[in-house]
Amino acid sequence: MKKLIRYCSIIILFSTVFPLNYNLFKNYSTPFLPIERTKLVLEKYFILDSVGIIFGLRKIISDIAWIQLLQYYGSEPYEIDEEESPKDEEHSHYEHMTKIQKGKYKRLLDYFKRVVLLDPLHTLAYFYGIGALAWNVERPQEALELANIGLENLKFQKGDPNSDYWEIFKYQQAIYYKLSGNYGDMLNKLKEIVESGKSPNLVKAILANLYKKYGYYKEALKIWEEILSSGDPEYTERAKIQIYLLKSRCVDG
Amino acid sequence: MKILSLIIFSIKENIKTKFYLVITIFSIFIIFVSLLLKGLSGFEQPQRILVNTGLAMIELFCLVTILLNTAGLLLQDIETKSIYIVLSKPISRSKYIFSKYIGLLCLTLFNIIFMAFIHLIFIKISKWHVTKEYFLTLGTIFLKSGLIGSISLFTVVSMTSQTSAIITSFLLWIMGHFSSELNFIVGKIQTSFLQIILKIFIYLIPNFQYFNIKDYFDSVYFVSKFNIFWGLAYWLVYNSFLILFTMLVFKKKNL
Repeated sequence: MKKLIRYCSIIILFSTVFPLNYNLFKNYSTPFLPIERTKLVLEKYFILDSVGIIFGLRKIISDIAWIQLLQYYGSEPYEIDEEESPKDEEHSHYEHMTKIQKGKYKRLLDYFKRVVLLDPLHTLAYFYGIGALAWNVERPQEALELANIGLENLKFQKGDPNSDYWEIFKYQQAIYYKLSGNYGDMLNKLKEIVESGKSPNLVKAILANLYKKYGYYKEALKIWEEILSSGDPEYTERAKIQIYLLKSRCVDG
Repeated sequence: MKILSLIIFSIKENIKTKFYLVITIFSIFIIFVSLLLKGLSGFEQPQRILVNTGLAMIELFCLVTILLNTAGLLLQDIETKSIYIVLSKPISRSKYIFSKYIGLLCLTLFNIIFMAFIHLIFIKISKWHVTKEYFLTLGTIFLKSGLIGSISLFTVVSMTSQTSAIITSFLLWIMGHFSSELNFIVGKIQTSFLQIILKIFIYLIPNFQYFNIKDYFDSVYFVSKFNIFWGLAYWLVYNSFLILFTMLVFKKKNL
């Protein structure tokens, strides 16, 4: 009798496994793209990224990808597009940028795409990436591409007006203003982005430089002071210099 | 009472292994690595790296410990013939397997609590906090570990080689994380017979991705989709099936 119960239990449990798994496949969703839309963009990290997906370690590999991105963007721009990159004498033309990087870091978008493919919820990557692509390396089309990826991945937040989805939407609008030459509205949109409190220091620095370019020294000064008080070591020196310059301009003005 | 003594015996045996200690030291070292990664990750969101790395390491550490301990201890029991001493007493083979598994679960629970404690200290030092989703993630890591524990116990009992048992369990772990992708790939196969066979196999292996909340625990929306009762039921069904089946195989095994 005991034996029979044991065999029956095994058979019942075994037959339960299939509908349970079927139900999971049908109804359970994760933030990750299905495999047919998963394209590993950087060949040299293919194995590492695959390990992250196969082993269920996407988040930690995404963090490593983020560090690799920062190292790429923080290193010398060895991948330079000669045709697009401005000559030294042209630099003054791009004085509104945080760094003169046009035509450089050709694979920057791929690095950002890699991070958000592994972790579609990595919102800082969207904010930082859109800002860097649109205003630092002057490739707004690529920035729009990243914004579209962000909007697609975060569409589940659409119902919340304070969500990161709508934050990316603001970035998208700012880029459209930039492309149409409507710099006033672009500035206002960037101001809105910075005031939301979710923007990285890179975007704040972009806005401060734009303010400076258009003669809003007090506003620029306020942002640089805010960046300085954040304690971000990457911006400390630059913030101090800008604050010194802007204070003197404010006095002159 | 007999089962309780066996569980305690199983826990003691697990703790006695030197490998266990090496792994513990290694895990602490890895948490230090997460601190290093945190330093490299830039000014914004450095704590994210600390939390993610820590959780991933807790899980990997549990996986490695379970695979090696299960494979090592049972076969060691057979090799050193200590299993005969246990089984010569009026203890059934089923009780032996059951207590081995419960001992493994207790130790895994202790591991997770110990690791999480160290992890939380580091998080506290970094002046950050964790949400309730963090603890739910730890719970799912425990469930995953329990599941791979029963799988490895089954492979160890059914196979004679320690290496093949570890490799098989590890492959099932990978496939369990990759099952929805495998399902898509299998759907592309033209031969219908092969497709059916592979589909049955995919629906048979446990879906570890369901418990893999650590990859999106910062999204309340997706975490809320995880039903804890449904998850527990899923876990219980699989574990009961695997443990009962292991008992059956172990009963028939010539020792």
